[in-house]
Amino acid sequence: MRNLVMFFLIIIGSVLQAIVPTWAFLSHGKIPFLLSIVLYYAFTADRSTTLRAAFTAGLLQDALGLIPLGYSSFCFCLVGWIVCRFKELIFGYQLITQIWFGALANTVTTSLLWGLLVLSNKMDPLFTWVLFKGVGAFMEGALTVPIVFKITRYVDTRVGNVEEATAS
Amino acid sequence: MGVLLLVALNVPSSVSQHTKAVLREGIAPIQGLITSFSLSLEETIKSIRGLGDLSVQNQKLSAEVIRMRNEVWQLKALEKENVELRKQLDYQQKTTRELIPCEVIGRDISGWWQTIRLGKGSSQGVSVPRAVVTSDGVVGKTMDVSPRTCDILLLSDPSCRVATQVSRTKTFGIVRGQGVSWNREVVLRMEFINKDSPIRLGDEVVTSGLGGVFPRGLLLGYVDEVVLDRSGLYQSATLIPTADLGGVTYAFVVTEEEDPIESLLRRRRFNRIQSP
Repeated sequence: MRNLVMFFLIIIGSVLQAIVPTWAFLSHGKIPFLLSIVLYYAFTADRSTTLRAAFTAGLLQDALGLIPLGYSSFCFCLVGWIVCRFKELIFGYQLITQIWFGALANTVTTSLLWGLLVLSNKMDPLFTWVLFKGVGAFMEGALTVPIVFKITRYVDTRVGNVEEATAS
Repeated sequence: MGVLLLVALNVPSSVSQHTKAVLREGIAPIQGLITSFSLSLEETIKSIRGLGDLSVQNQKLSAEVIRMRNEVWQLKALEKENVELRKQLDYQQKTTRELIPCEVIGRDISGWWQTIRLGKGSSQGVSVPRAVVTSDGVVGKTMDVSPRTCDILLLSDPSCRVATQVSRTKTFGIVRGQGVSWNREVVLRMEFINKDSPIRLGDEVVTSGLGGVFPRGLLLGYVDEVVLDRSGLYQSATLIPTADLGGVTYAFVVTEEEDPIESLLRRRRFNRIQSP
């Protein structure tokens, strides 16, 4: 059941990520719905579930855009793995943790993706541009992850994947 | 998982393209549905916003107004769509080029490029790279094609470059996207213009046909500002694009230049239909 819900959430997340408009003051970065879902699983599930979510979400992000296949999967898996590694040391259900991890994870993912795209000659190496993009990604991650976390948690609770007591 | 990742990062481009196409085809219907749903939601929000204080004055009356306004908005949306489709159809019949009409079903998901996705692909004759136009002018070029969808790199993207010329002076230049400004306006820049060429504000810029992707004579925009480059070797001009790149709902993929005789016959047929 958990896998089914995860797949459904990733599909919805990818479609939302494609249609929600971008803003110039956030450097035209896309709202990171898919990364937020990956972070949710990183905070709440075991490593293998997280990596499964990260791989699927990345695959879909690459398939729906011009990024070469595998780049986003690599970045999402890396971020998911790092969060899984340190989740015992942090309070994953705290809003402030989600804000900070969302901001940092989106910045790291954006920078990593940029690096990979530059290395494969898909993008010009403009450092000022990626700096601007990074600031936008930081803010978008901080705003999106707590909201997506709440919604995803609600869906998971409603379908019985997690207990009511642990959900709060 | 590590092995899977390594494989994913190193798959041959043919396999990668095929996988991408399969995934894209699968999600295209959902994408199309949500896009049309979001458009109607936008119209509804607009209609509710327009009501304001009415609900406070009279509950019953306001409910009626809401219902009627919703109806009007829906009709307006339909009328708008109707006008747009008529305009595009008229353009398709008038033009001498072979065009494939397409509906926009989505926008870029990654945020790295400015792209849109059209609901037609290689099975309908769309290939890469081809010019994409609306009745207002050039929109961009095809980048990635699957059997039933294709991705378009918009003119506003900095990596999209078009060989152009100023209609009046026949001066050549390269147009490059400058992204979208803070006030959501698309800015284009025409570079490498001969410094001795007398470019004026409002001059029409069209595609030059050089480069092979964009056929000659497609309208791109109008000159808004002209400056001499810092090196002093050539001029640069800021352009206002004629096509509304942010609000494209229908577009045409230009397949190839039509045979002149076929073109003449097509025009005749069109004129015969137009005359009573």
